[in-house]
Amino acid sequence: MLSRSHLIRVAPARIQHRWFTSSCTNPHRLARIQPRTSLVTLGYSAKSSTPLNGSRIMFTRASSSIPPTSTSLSDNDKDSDPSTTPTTSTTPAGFQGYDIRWKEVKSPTISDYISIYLDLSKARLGALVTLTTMAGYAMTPMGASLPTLFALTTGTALCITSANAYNQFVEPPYDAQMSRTRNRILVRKAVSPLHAWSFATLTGLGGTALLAAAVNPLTAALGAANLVLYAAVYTPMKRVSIANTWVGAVVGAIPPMMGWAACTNSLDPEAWLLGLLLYAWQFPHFNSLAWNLRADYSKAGYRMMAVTDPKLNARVSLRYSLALIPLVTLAPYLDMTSWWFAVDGNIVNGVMLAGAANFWRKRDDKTARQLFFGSLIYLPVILALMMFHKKGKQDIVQEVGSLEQVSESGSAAQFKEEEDDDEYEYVDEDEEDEEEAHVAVKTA
Amino acid sequence: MNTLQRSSLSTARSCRRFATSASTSASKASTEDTSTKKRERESLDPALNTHKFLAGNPHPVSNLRPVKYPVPTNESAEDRSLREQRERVDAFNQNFWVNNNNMFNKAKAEYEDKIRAQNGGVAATTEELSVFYKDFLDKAYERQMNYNRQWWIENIGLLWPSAKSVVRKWTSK
Repeated sequence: MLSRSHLIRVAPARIQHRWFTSSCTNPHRLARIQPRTSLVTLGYSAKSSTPLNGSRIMFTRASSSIPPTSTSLSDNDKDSDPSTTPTTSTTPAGFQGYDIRWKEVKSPTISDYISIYLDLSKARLGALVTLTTMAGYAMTPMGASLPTLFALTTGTALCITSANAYNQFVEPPYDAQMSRTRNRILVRKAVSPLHAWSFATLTGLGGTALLAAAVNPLTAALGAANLVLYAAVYTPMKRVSIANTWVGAVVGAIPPMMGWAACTNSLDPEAWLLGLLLYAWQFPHFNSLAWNLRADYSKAGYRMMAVTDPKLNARVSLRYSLALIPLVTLAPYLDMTSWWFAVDGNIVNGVMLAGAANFWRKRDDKTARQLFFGSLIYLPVILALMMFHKKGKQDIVQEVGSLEQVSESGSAAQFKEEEDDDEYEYVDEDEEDEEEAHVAVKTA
Repeated sequence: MNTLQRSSLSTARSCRRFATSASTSASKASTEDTSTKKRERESLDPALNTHKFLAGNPHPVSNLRPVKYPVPTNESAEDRSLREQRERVDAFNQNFWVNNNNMFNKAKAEYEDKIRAQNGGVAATTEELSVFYKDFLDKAYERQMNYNRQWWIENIGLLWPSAKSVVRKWTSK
């Protein structure tokens, strides 16, 4: 009798009722020993044993050593013979019916970690984005300070690394579905998700801190905002609405603005121009890429224009390719470059526009591919042209000097600029501020 | 441990042993089949390698890889619950993607057949396929939203227990 009551008190609630009716014969005893004591915890939370919204499976109680009584609602669960718990059966739940070749996933060595971190950070893409940041810095009229440039590059690279790593942390099951991404680190289980998340957090914090300490707070704020925008807004939005492309374009536009702000600590019209240039460029770039992936996107549940509205997809890329023309023409107007940039910049624009128009007219894989590769070449070419035609401090001062027609102050200023250029490595923040004031006074 | 639990455990254990031997022989048979192919594909036996972290080749439909987490000899209760939580999340993902991808493949095949019947034998063009892709994506919206939400919750919910387990491993050394 004692053993029976002990028995009943320990067994879990769901099975308990059956045990009662089958084993207990005395109804009075039944009523008296109705247990209200706490149940043995079976090592899993109640939350996770409830059926999940949208899924048609109810989890087998993998943790319990007592046979589960939960009924499954899905066909895939018929393999879970109540007494084979996934903890010791050879095949994980749902993976029956095909020839599994098991391989050991060994702990990575140091050299493995290098390639892992490069993959997590999407190194090639990150390098291109860092280049746009450096281009933004290079376009500033002030002399470059190498320490600032180095800090800017490293800080931005760390922020981009963090953003990409967060993105990969969130997306393994989706990445597994698409051929472009199925060899990523977390899809291959080469490192644990915790490791990827920690890497992302550390690089994000480090990058922002470096920018705040060694560059300026504005750049750090932009970097942090970009990171949040990419990881927490763009990444989930990819599965919710086609507006994600516009958010993603903003993510691409911010780095050159960071580069500019690193030097001037303000977002001047020139910075906005650079940002708008990158923003407009994103559309032909991304829309053409998405076109060739639309089958994968549809299957994996990504909401992209290429799937939901192919005509809009091509139209938007054409629209923004057209927008590149006034933007390129605006650069010399803002005194960033000489007017030659408007000439050869627009020639390059014309080529891009032709590709976008082709894609808009034909909308097939070949034109999409051509536009995509064209956009990949376009960006470094236009940035290189911009830097080539950049108006240096000397040019601005010369113009001003000739306008004022005070040759002495003009030549004195020229002499001063040359002197400063020789010693640009040693320019510190205070001197730069003085120079800013100098130039501001002269151009006023 | 009382008699009930002990007896149920032993039943469970013997059932597990049976299942293990059954699936081992099944996997052995299948590995014998594959060894007749030109290139011999090696596969570790999961039953013999419970201490190792094993990952298999992707499932043909869901594209996800099966994972067997290592079971150390002195596995604590928290480690065991973490492992089981991970296995549950893996099963959740596997179930969703098998369903989703089967639905996609079936729907696409049906659509292509329909188009071919309409066109009299000509395969579907990219324009026509685009109509299908849009339709499938729109119909799957709510299902995908539910899955996304649940996946984000589960994925982030695994971080803290994993961190605790790592700290436990460091402090126990």
